[in-house]
Amino acid sequence: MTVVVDGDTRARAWVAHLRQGGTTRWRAFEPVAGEYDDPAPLPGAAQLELVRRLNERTDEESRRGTAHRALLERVLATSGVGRGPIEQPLVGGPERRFGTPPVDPARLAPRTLLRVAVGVLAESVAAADTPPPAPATAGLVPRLRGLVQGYALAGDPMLVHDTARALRAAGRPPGSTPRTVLLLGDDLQRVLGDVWAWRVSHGASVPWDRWLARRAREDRLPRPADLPLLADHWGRRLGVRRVHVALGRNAVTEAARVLGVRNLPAYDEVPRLSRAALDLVRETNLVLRLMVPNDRHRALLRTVLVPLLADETGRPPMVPDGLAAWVARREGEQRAALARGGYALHGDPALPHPAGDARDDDVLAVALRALLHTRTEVA
Amino acid sequence: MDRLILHVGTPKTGTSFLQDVLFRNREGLAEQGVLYPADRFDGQFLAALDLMRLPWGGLEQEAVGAWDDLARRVREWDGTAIVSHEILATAGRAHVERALESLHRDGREVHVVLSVRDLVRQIPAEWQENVKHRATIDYAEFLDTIRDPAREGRLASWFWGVQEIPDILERWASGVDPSRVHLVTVPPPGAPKDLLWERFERAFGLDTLDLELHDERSNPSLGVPETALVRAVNLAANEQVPPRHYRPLVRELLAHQTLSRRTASPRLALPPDAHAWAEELSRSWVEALRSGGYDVVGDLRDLLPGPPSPAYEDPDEAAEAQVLDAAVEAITALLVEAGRLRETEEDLHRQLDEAREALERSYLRPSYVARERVVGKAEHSALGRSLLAAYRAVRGRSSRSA
Repeated sequence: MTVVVDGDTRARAWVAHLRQGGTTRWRAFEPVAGEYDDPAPLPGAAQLELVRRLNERTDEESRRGTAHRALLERVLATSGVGRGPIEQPLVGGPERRFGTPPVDPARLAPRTLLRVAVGVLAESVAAADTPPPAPATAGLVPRLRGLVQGYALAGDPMLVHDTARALRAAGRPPGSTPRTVLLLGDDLQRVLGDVWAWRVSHGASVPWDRWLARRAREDRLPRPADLPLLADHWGRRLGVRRVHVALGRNAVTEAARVLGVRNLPAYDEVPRLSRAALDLVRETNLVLRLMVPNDRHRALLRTVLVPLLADETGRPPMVPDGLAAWVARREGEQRAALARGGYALHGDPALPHPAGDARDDDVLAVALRALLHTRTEVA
Repeated sequence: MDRLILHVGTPKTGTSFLQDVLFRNREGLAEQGVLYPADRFDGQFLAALDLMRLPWGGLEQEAVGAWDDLARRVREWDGTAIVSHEILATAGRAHVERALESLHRDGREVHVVLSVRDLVRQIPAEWQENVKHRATIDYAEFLDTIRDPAREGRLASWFWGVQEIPDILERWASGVDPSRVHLVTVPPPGAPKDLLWERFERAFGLDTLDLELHDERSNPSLGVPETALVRAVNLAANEQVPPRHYRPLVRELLAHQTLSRRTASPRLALPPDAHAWAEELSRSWVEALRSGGYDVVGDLRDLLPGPPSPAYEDPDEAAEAQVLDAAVEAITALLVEAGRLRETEEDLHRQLDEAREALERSYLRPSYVARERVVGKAEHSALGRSLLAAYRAVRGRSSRSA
């Protein structure tokens, strides 16, 4: 039975409704008869709206589960991280003379909800256990082969990671005394995106646009993306003939072929997170940095947060219009320098990868999915 | 009686001076039964960042575990403990709950202290503080932003979060007996210099203790042309100067150590057309505070603004000649600092050269020369390189770079 109540009671009834898995928006909410006299301070509008959206994305049975209820309580008990409005009251809720103006929670900016979501996510991740690093599994024969037929990998960090995994799986781990060096790359936009994504996945918090703009302003590529620089470095150490450059979408296969490995076994690729997922990692990094020491931060990213987002794959970040000319120029110069240098070139980077962008809405959607995952995977 | 004194704001009310006195006297205070838990001057600032999960231009990496450490020390202390930082004013409900829970010790009284100053002085001071933290917003836009009732955006929410006195008290002191909530009012301009400190002493119960006072850590204010200059520097240099360089070079060297000494230039003030709005707001605050029954150390009338400044100078239209004067002093200070850094660099080069020469001399020993000859020959053949690699692997490290 719907009842007429004052703003405070209506707000408390809505909190109870949400705690029970409700999904009704504040504006449309009509309380039923009951006692809503919890004296605790009311949570903020952002916390409540986040709870509502989490309920909305959860089936009815799961909403009744203790894991879901525990997640909701974590959200209600978390203040937003970083700068922004302190808990905002509900419009039409209890009257207040001072403090943040009341709001309709359904109209809150995604960024306001993200401040709370990131706080909850960071607390969950920081509380997780991290497994010890896996020991090197290479046997004696591969290690001895590494001494004689050693190789080194450099370039795009994602491709380097994948190639190393693939070759280890094939019994060819890199050696301590490289005879050959394989430089891995792709179209420059993709490589720059990979370098930024790699750094974000290892603790960095700089936004993509600002990171790239600074590189362009200084006209300086990050070292893993600067293949001529790497080629020159290794050419002087090992001789030009021992430097191979593998480019394009099949760079891993090309690199394996150079080493005489024809059939690569299955291996785990490092997840190519979407721009929105990377932005969520980046924002979570800002908070994790306050909560745990650097080593643990990196371990949590490697073993908890990035695996939690592994399904959030997507296109590499898009180069903003104002920087596209710089990237194109550097790419042209890079190809010319590699050709001039006389290095063995394999593969073709001619096909640029489609790129993606992300708005706060997209990042919030990823954050909601990640929070729902934490019910089983982190908590 | 043991007391926990939580001083939670507000900025620009003499907090830096107070915290400096507490930090420098922390050992003496401890001997007199009062704990001020901090191992460095900004120790409690870092703890507040940690409590509120507040990133702060990279400084936050030094804040890991700082709140838990502070809270543990407070819990373990037999006697009175003081926690003081003005950014605590912006804590959300969950932060306040965490703070009070983590600091709780059976039988200890919790006292909340809020030092407060009139809005007419706080508004320009907050804009200036923003400018000293890399902000590029001009004064007119700043005023429009904070006067917008929606209070949207980081700037407005931060401003009111740390300045709206009744709201801060609702967040921090709603569960505290009003007699244990102490409002320290900053005296009006022209009051005796020591009056504010005397009020702090009374509120914190320091008046019977033996303390040495210093004046090295006050947060000095800038004048109109000086603030305009720093804002212009921000506009030009923000992209190129990362926070770790900005802090020592712009905020410390230029703003605090150089430009704040120019006290003859016109002072920042609230424009006359904003005065009535600030006065009305202040009256509503004073009325609410009066009915709250708090312990007022000073006078709530201190929060009511005086008359508008008769000679208001707009910092967005600062006199070019005055800004130029300030700029010349700023450049001079930077040149002196650059010279000092060059001398440091030359000294380090000298030390490096000496170390290299010592290393060279050790390389000339016959045994080293013989070993080098063997390694040099080995590196010319595949077998030799493999043997060397095996030797290095057995030895446990490689002298070659990766």
